[in-house]
Formats: sequence, structure tokens, C-alpha cells
Amino acid sequence: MLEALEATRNHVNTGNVIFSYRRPPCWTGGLWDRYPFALSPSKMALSMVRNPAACQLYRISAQRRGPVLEQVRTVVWHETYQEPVVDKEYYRKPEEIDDLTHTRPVRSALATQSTSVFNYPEVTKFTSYVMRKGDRAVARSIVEKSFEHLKRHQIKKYHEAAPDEKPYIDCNPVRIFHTAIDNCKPAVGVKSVKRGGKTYQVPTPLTDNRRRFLAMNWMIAETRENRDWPTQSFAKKLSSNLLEAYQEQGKVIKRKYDLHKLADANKAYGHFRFW
Amino acid sequence: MCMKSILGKNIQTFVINMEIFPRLHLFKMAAPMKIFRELRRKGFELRHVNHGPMPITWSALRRPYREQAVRYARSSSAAAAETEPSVQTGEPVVQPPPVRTIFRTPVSNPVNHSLEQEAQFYTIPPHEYKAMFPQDHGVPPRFKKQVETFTEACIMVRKPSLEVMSYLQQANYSHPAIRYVFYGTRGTGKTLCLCHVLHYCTKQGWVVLFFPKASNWVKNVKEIQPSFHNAERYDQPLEAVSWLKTFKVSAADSIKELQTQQKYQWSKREATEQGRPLLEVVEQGITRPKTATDCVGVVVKELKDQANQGRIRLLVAVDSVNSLFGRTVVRKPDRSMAYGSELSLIYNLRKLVRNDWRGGAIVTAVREAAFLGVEGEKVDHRRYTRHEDNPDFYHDIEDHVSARAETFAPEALLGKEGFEYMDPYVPVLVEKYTEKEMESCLDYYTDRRWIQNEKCWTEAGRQQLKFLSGYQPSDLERICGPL
Repeated sequence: MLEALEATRNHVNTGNVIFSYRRPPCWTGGLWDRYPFALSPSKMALSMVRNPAACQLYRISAQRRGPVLEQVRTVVWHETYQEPVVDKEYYRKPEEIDDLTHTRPVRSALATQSTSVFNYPEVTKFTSYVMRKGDRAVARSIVEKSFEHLKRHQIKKYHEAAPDEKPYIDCNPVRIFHTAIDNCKPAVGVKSVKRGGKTYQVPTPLTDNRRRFLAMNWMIAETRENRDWPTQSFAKKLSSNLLEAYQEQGKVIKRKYDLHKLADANKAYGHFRFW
Repeated sequence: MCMKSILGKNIQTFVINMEIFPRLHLFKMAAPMKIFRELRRKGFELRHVNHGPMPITWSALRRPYREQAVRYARSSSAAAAETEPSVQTGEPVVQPPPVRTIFRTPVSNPVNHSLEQEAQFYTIPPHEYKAMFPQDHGVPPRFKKQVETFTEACIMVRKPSLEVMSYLQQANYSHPAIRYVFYGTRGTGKTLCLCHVLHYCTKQGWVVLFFPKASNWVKNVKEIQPSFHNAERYDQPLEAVSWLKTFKVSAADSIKELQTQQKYQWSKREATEQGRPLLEVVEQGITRPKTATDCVGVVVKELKDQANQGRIRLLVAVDSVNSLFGRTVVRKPDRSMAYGSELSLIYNLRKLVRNDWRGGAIVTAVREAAFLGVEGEKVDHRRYTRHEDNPDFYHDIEDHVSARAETFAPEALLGKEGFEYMDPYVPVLVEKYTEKEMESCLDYYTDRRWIQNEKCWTEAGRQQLKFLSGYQPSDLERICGPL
């Protein structure tokens, strides 16, 4: 039964040919998905079926002194440690003793994880991009301050507006942030391809993660490079940039259009795209 | 994407889409290459790849936006989908639900405030607010911002201020002035209670001498100069001028009929004769900053005398009164540190909080932040402290309550000298919000759009805000900032 299920998951019928593909190592999967010799009884079957090559922790890489074993991904936890569950409701329920999980130690949760109802993954991601030298507390305070500036600006506008305009003024900083970032996401990007000693910028579709990354990092870069307002705090500048992007204006939006233009100008190199 | 594969003369065409490729969204960018390799291994010779008129966007094939957020957050998908706020443009945005209106009281005159209005917000009329706090001096900086943002000045009617107001009502003013000291931990609203009492006295027609943040005069000193008539003392012209300016605005009405009781010689040529309006002294200080500090002394002395004679009722309100006693950060020309009473402004203020006069009241607040340490005692600047029971265990000093036990108590903050100087006084404790006050405050913030998060409008969100802030007024305001 399990194997049949696995077959449907890992084998795809394309009509004429049947072929299998490896499931890409998934960020949400955790250690058990990557490591084939896991001691988990529940996952043993799955990991045996799967292609062990996908589950590698080490790969052989060629270096000057010869082939060395190189770590693919650093996992500081011992394999017996289990993933933490970040869910309040889970802990409200009584523990199931028949499962052996409660005897195994638990890894600490990531700094990006939170059970707070005020936690927004997108904002957490943005905070991580703002962060320098691992100082998340500072990064978080900066983002929160900029949200506060944003909100103060909008609330003031709200209270000073005429009654019929009021419902159209958005004061929610998180919503403004999401809209602003969405507005900054490019629809198409370019990728460098070397052909005949020349590098071509080949237009390419982007993944969602890449689009989000570009939008957020443009936002941060434009704020850092802002020379119009050098004495102003990063938070304040960030809030003004977010507000501009929310209204589909400003430097970040311009940067998006620049990329679109570049992709459009390089349409002719489309045939270099092999992926 | 369309693929043509030529095997001999047999041309096969695949169209890869979601129908034949149900898990296509799990592919990364390199996935089509994998498809090619697989096909090649099976003997297909790939000649041509037609990308079609438009390059396909993988994002279109991927799962919708809301589900995707799970991938990096590692949280459960259901929770993440809920926390993603809806993005709306050009349409009316989601408004907070109407809250119970009991959080606000229409009684804007604090003279009429009683326990009925407890835990309710009252609005200070804008013109009165401007007159009492010109350029928002004296109110806490966060409250100043809040007034700008909400376009109204609202203060909660709280028990400590009601208590002091009832004392002021019942006091016998033929006796020496009574001193009241607001105290409490940081961010509990001592200054706002003081402002409430200030408003009360202003409405009753008292002359109000408000010294906001006396700690600024001993800690953030910009400029000092030796006094003209006493070489032992130092003047602070800039601080004196700015205080006189605000005093001129706030007390213009109440002191306009008062006259000087003696002649004051400012310099060889400048003098204010006896029987001139007191406002002239104020003007003198503003126009001639050199004499400003002395002008403050004269105003203090004159008002004290007039109150003694029963012509006026005088309220002396001093925020962070503990900085009047003990050391300062001012360095004298001989490199030694100046003592509080060596600064003329502080010297005059100290004379004011001494209860050798009658016909008024002295309402003060002590602040932990203004505390510069007791003379001769080493200040503990450690950020961490060892746990009492387990010395191997380090604590953050802010978290460890017993490490800074009762430092907010007035006797601890005033020090020995200050305590002896201020004794007897009426200590009034300003505490954290009660449940009722907390509910009222949350309602007020929701009404003023300060709480924007949809989660906060639910009971669970409110509970979390209560938990996060620990019923601490200033913390609540800060936490709601980015929400």
C-alpha cells in the first residue's frame, strides 16, 4: 500500500513516457527527508523507497589537493533529535504515550518560527533580509519601527480625511507591506549565459521565491542607498519607500520596470535559454 | 511548454501542463532539463523545443500565493494561510468592528471627574492642551506622537490622579502646602497622572508652575555660565529661556494681573520697577538670556509670596523631582562635578518644593530614569546579575526583579538628602493597568485605529496583547505600534 502510494507520488505519467523524478530536497522536510538511514520507524519505509542520492549529506568535490568530502548542509543536531512542533494547539492536546517520540529530545525551534498570532512569514523573511551579522533583535526593531511610522502616517491621514474617503484609507501596516512587496515583484527576469566568450542576459521566468527575494532586496538596497535623506533613520526611509511602492511609485518600482525593459530588449537571446 | 521529439520520422509532441503533470509545481527551474534527460535515456532524440508565443511563468503553475508562504516559515499550513492578510487595493479596506463606547467619557472638565469616570478616556480640548503644554513640552514623547497621530489628546481617568484631586479638593490651604509624590515602575503613567492633575488645577483657575522633566536640567545640560550675584552657582540660560517661553504661554491668563512687589535690578541700566506686571519679568528673561535664570528665580519668589498672601492658588508640578537632589553631570571649571544645589535653576526649584509657604500644593513625580545614584555610592552598571539561589546562573538585570528591588520607591529614588528635604509627603502609587483599564485602553486603541491587526480584534488577540504587555501601559502602546 505504501509503495503504491509512493509510486503515484514519485512517478509521473506524461502520456507517452513514464519516468521518475527525484523529489527535490524540500526545506520543510527536515532531517528525516534527507538522511536515508534514519531511525524513524514511521519514515523508514519512505526513505528506503526514495533515491538515496537525493538524501545525501555529503558529496565528493574536486579540490586542489584531490577529492574531499564536503558537507552539503550543516546540521548541528544529532540525528535522534526530532523536529519541534510550533503549534500551540498541539501542546494543548494530551500527549500520546504509545508513540516513542516523547522519549527523543527535541531540536530548538528556529528564530523565524513563532506561535504568535501576530507572526507573518513574509514579514519574518523581510526581517531576515534586513538583518546584519545575525542581529535579529535589531533588525526586528527596525522593521517594527518602520511599520509604526507607516501606520502613524496613515492613521493621521485617516483622522484628517473627509468621512466618505475614510473607508478607502488603509492603515494596516502589514497589509501595506504585502501590497508594496507584491507591487515590486518582477514578472520576468534575466539570467547570464556564456556563449562564445560572451555573456548574454537571457530573459527567463522567475520562481516565486526569486521574485520575492528581488522585491525585498531592492526595497532594502534602495533604502540603504538613499542619499536624499542621509540623516534620516533607516526605519523612516524604509517606511517612505514602502508607502511609495504601495502607491506603485518610487525607485523600487522603477527598478522593477528597468528589469522588465532589459528582459524585453534581450528577447532576441531567448534561444539561449536551455532550461 | 511544448516539446517536439523526433524519432525517425515519427514526430511526437508533448504539451506539459498541469493536467498531465499534476505535481509540476514541485519542480524547480532545472526540472525541464530532467525531463529532457529522461527522454533522451529512453531513446528520444530531442531536436527542437518550442517555448510557444510566451515564456511560461512557473509561478502561474505553482500553488497559489497563500499556500506557498509555508515553505520557508516551517509553520503549519493552516496557521500560515490564516495569518496572511488579504491584499486589497482600490476597495474599502476592512475596518475594525465597532467597540463598546464606554471607554470614552464626554466629561472633559477634570473638576467633574469622579470614580464614575474611572478607566475612561477624556479628551482635553485642543486649545486647552495647547495652552497647557505649548509645543507639547512636558508630556511623554510617545504621548506627544500619539496626540499628533490621533489628532486628539486623550488621557485615561485613573485612580491615582483622582486620589490626588480629591486631596486637593479637601485640603486646608491656610496650612503649609502639601507635597504629593507620584511613584511607580517605568511606563505606568506617572507623568500623565501629573498632567491630569495639572489640567484639574488649570480649570480651577490656579497658577500653575510646571517643571517638566527636571532631570533635563541636571543630565542634558547644554550650556552653563557662572551666576552674576553668586559665584558659587551656575546659570543655565538656554533652559531658563525655554522654560520662560512655555510659562509665558501657559500662565499668561492666570498671572496677567499680578505685579512685582519690589524693584529688581538686572544690570546697571536694566531694572524692573516695583508694581510692574509680572509678565514683564518673564519678557525680560526671554529677551535677555543672560538674566533668564534670575528671572525664573524672581517668578518663583513672587508667585510664592503672592500665594502666601492668599491672592492666588499656586500649583507647583515637578516631574522627576528626585533629580533636584544629589549629583549632576555638570562639570565645574575646576573639573569637579557640580552638586544639584549649585545650579541656580535647581536651587530655585528646591526652594519651591520646600513647604515653607501656603496657599497651594506641590505635586511631583519621581522617575527611575532620572536617578543618578546616591552620593558616595558606586552605581551598578552591570547588565547581568547572578541569581540569588544559584550563583552559576546569570540573569539579565532587567528581567531579574529582585536585583533592582523597589528602586522605584520614592525614598530610594530621593536618597537620604531628598527624603529629609521632602518629608513629609504623600506618596501616591501609580500601578499597571487593571483588567478594566486594560479593556478600556484596548477599546480606545481599536477605535482610534491604533490596533490594525485583525487578530487583535478577536478575543485571542486581545489576550495575547494583555500577555505581551503585562498590563504595562507604555509597553502596550509600544507593542501595538507595528500591529
